[in-house]
Amino acid sequence: MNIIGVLDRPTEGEYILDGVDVAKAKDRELSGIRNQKIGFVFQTYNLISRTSALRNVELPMMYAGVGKKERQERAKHYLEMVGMQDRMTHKPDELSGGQKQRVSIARAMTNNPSIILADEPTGALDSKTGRRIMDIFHRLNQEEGKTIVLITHSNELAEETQRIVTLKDGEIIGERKGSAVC
Amino acid sequence: MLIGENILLALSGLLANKMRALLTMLGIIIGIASVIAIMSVGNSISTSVTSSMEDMGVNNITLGVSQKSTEDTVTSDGRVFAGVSRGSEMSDEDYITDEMLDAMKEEFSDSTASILLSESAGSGTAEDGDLTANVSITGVNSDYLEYEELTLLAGRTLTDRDQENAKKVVLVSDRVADNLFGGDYNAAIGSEINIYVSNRYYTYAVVGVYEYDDSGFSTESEEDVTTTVYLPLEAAREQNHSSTGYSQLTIVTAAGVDSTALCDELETWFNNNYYRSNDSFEVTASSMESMVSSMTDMLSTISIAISVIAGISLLVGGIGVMNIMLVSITERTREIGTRKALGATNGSIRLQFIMESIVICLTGGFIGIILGLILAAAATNLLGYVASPSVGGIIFSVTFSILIGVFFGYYPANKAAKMNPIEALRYE
Repeated sequence: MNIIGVLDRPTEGEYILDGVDVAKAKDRELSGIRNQKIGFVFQTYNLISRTSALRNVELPMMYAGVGKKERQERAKHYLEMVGMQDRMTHKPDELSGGQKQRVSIARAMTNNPSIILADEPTGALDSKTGRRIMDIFHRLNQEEGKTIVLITHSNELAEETQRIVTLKDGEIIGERKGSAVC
Repeated sequence: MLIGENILLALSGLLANKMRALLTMLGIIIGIASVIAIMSVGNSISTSVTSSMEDMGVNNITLGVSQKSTEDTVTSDGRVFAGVSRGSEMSDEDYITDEMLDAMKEEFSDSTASILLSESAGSGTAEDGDLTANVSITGVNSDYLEYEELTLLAGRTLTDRDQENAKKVVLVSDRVADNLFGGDYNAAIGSEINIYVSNRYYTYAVVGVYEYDDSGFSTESEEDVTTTVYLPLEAAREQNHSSTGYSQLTIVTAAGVDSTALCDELETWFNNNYYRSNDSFEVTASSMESMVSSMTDMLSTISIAISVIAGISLLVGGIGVMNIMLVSITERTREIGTRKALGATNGSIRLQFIMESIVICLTGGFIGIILGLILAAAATNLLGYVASPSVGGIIFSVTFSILIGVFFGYYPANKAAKMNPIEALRYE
């Protein structure tokens, strides 16, 4: 996940993302890739607790240098998409786990990345809210055409995807198709 | 744009943690407050002292006879005796005489406008039956009277004839006339007044009444205020049985003359011509200008000394800010990791924390400025001066706060910027 998310450089082999060799790219270029091409969704949400949901969603656009007005419009748009339009001014402390995860999905979407990297996105949620989150991912995949890399321990969730890569102790031990329709 | 965002972010961080922020800023607040207070108090003292000295005539030179200090003497066995002034009394030949002044007028005719001579004939009370007024008697020459620019309310001023004949005629203030003659100034003219000075009565004829100019320095009540009774110089000297010389006099310099330079010339001239063979006394000259500048020098030295102490407080405050920034960065490791994952460059993380440090220091600085101004206002009020805040001090404080913020914020901010995003995200 760290390699795919270009948080780290590969020590062996190559990782070429959109024609950029990650191993050789500069820090600044990697920041740009993370900002524009990858949306992160963490198990523990990692929202910034001092600021509102809206400002959390604005954050990646701030680093992309998007103007204030456009930033707010886009942030509102994506919060509406995940059904959080009523709680935009709430701080993360005032939101439930599922709501926080929806905010963090909106945050991952704002710069319109091609990949969404979700690390155990439902791991801290009960099955019902987890279901809602998964539904959002399916929608993003089908309607917006996003590649979603979902990291999970749950075989049940894995079955919902189109392609399953099994890792054990850092080695790929298997690859097969998931049950989802192409 | 990022700067504005960061300022808002830092401010909200400060508000979220008020007590910690206040304690962190305390060093900065104390440092800045003392700089502002000291500079403002110094500023108002020097403004009012300078203006009151200028009122007295910044271009006047005071000539005085003072005791020489002896040279350091070294005995044959090598012991050193520091020079001391000899405690001898002034005798007749030590005074500045009229002949000296005449010669001086000739020598320095271009640079001296007039010579003000005065001699005190004591102070006491003017009495008329039960009615009294406090007075001090001063014998003055005509230049002196002219320089004083008295406003005559009745009668005439002292004439050259009065001076030559050492007539016992006086000018009294309106206060004296109010007390003794019930405010009838014309009745005062020509009357005789008795002044009781050191167990003796002296009788003078009043020839004029002048308007007393209350310069605001007096602490006595309106009725009891001591005013000057002007007497011809020669009359005062006769009354004092004094010799033919002066121990102190004032020279009014001509317009455009550098009084500090003239002081040196006068000293040299007098001492070379008249006091070369005098073992114990010499003439010293000082101008208001040099007094004002030495006063200002002294004040600024004190200001600098206290500012250095305040600077140490600022340094300590800065270290406190650095400390709290390091704590804050450790606390917010995950936030830093998240920001990096979302595309923050090292530069933008560094900027965020430097801005935060600047905001802490500037907020502390502003609180310090306000506190310092309040302190200065209270202190100047207590001392009886007009408060005049030091603009330079405020500009200095703001600049210095920013500099402290950048200087002590850089190291923590850089540490944050260099964090590995993976480790930062994993941090618990």
